[in-house]
Amino acid sequence: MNKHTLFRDISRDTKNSYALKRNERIVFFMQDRSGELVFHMDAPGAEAYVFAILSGSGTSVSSLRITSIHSAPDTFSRAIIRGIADDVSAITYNGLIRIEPGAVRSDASQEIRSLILSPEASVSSQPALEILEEDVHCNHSATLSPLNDAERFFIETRGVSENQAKQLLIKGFINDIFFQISDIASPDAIKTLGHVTSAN
Amino acid sequence: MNDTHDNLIDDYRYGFSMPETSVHKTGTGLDASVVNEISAIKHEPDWMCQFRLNAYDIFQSKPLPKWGADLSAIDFDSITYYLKATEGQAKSWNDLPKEIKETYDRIGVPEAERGFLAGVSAQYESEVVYESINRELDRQGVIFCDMDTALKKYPEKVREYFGTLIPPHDNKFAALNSAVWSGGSFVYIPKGVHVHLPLQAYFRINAEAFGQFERTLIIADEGSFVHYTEGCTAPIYRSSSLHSAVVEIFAKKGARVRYTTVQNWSKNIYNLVTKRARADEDAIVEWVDCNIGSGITMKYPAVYLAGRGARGEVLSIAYAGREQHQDTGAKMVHLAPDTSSRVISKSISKDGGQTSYRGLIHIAKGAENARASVVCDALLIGQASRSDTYPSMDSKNASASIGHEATVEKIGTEKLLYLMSRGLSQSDAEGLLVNGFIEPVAKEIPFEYAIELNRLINLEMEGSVG
Repeated sequence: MNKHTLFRDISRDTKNSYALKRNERIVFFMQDRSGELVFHMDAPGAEAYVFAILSGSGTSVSSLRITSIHSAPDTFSRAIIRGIADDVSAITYNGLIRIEPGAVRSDASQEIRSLILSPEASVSSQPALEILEEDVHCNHSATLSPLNDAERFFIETRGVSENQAKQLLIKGFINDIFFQISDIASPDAIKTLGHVTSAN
Repeated sequence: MNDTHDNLIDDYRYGFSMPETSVHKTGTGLDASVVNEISAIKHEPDWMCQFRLNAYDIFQSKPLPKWGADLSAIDFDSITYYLKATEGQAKSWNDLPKEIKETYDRIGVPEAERGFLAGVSAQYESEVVYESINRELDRQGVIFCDMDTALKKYPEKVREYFGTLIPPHDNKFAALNSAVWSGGSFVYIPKGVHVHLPLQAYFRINAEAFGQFERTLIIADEGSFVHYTEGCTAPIYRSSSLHSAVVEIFAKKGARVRYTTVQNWSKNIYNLVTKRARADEDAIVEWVDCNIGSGITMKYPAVYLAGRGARGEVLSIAYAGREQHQDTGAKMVHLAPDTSSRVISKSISKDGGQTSYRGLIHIAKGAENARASVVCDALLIGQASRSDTYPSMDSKNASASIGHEATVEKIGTEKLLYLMSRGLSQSDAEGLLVNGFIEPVAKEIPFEYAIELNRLINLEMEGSVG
């Protein structure tokens, strides 16, 4: 809305810790980043949107940990993660929302959705909450599922091959993130993501 | 905060204690000779004595868990590990010693109702001193007795299952229980038998700093059904007591077992319990777990879904007031195709209490089409309260699906104001809202427990300054 929104692609960033300023709103995006990232919500009115895509293929093993620490009032954080594990890959996601005492009216959430595409792939997720303040709204959700057979069947009845139908569904699963980014930041933001193939 | 919170402690309905009348009592502390002594007093077979001694070694070698609640204050040397309340077992209610009857009267064990109940097995201190099995159960071939009796009368059955689902090396407290266990229930339901009334057992700790280590084993044979319920209340003492039970449930093909607990230990009790069930093909196991009391609880009922089409459920309520930490959760291990599980957890943290949900959903590679769903809702009331959620989901199967959601909120100010504008006091309004919050789980427990739970919640809400 009227708040200025910054967009940052941190896929190849080397920093592990991000602190937001007072009333700042930043949309973060990362693809296939591993490691531990901490978002410090220690200035009142700060807003962080964190989007992450984890795609595992071959024998890759990826592990991402995203922590949001709210220590100031009226802070907001949203983490939206999509994981896709194919072949014999393994994806591990650890999330943590921590609300310190005094961070009143904090609003924090994490959402992780994962797809397992191959019988040899595995996904593990641990989205945790530690809430030490009463006056907050917090939630997290996690789903883990195969591709929807009914949806795939519907696409196939329109004359699309099984493999193409699968690719379409995977693309839709990821593109959801880009739609959200262009809504919150600006449609121009995703144009900067040249290295992301699924964005097109 | 405010001193009025102390009302809860002072007015604690069940916070009284009767003089001890125990006949046997081991000294404080634990070593191999105490384990031997317990086994000797009970005239146990040699294999059980060896099982205990082996478990004692494991207990010694295992460290305290490094995660979860703070257990560093437990002084294992100050605990009495075995205490027998009365010599032998009473045949009927009238034969019970007067103090014991008085204690039961005060906690409301339904003496008048016991004729209606399938069997009241009341554990006073460490052994079951009273039990009545109604003729109907006998006729059906149902076995419902205390564990010590079962070991004497049905040694083969006990030996076949005992400690196979929760072996002593599972965790430090399972090892401790295996070494010094005493009392608890043994239930066997023959093939195709449906037990219509819930089997009930009441547990109670009386001796100061006395650990209660009951051991329960439930075997539901093919196509049978049983609902087992336990309720706990305990008097208040100054030093801390340890309650560390082990419950194993075997649900054979097509059987259904429901296990309901309403736990209201007093605030100085460490409640560290291991509960696990195995569900074979098309079997259903449901844990309904309400944790209201105790200082620290660590309990994560588990279902191992081992047969095709097996189903597991955990419905839990945790309430933590001041100086309480309820670290509870559920574990669902999907090992077979077409298995399904559901976890609903409701927690309330009030006036500095801490609740933690710690859960595991594991989908093994061969668990085709497994389905799991977890819903955790937490309510925070008052400052300095804390709510944690630590779910863990692992899947190694591409056809399985898992859904998990959790929310944390404070009690709705508008709802409170609305109710108070209708003339309710703040504590009544809070009690009403909290009872509404837990209703989805509370409606699943037997009526008399639901009433008790409702009263407990209201009692806990009293003295609140909001």
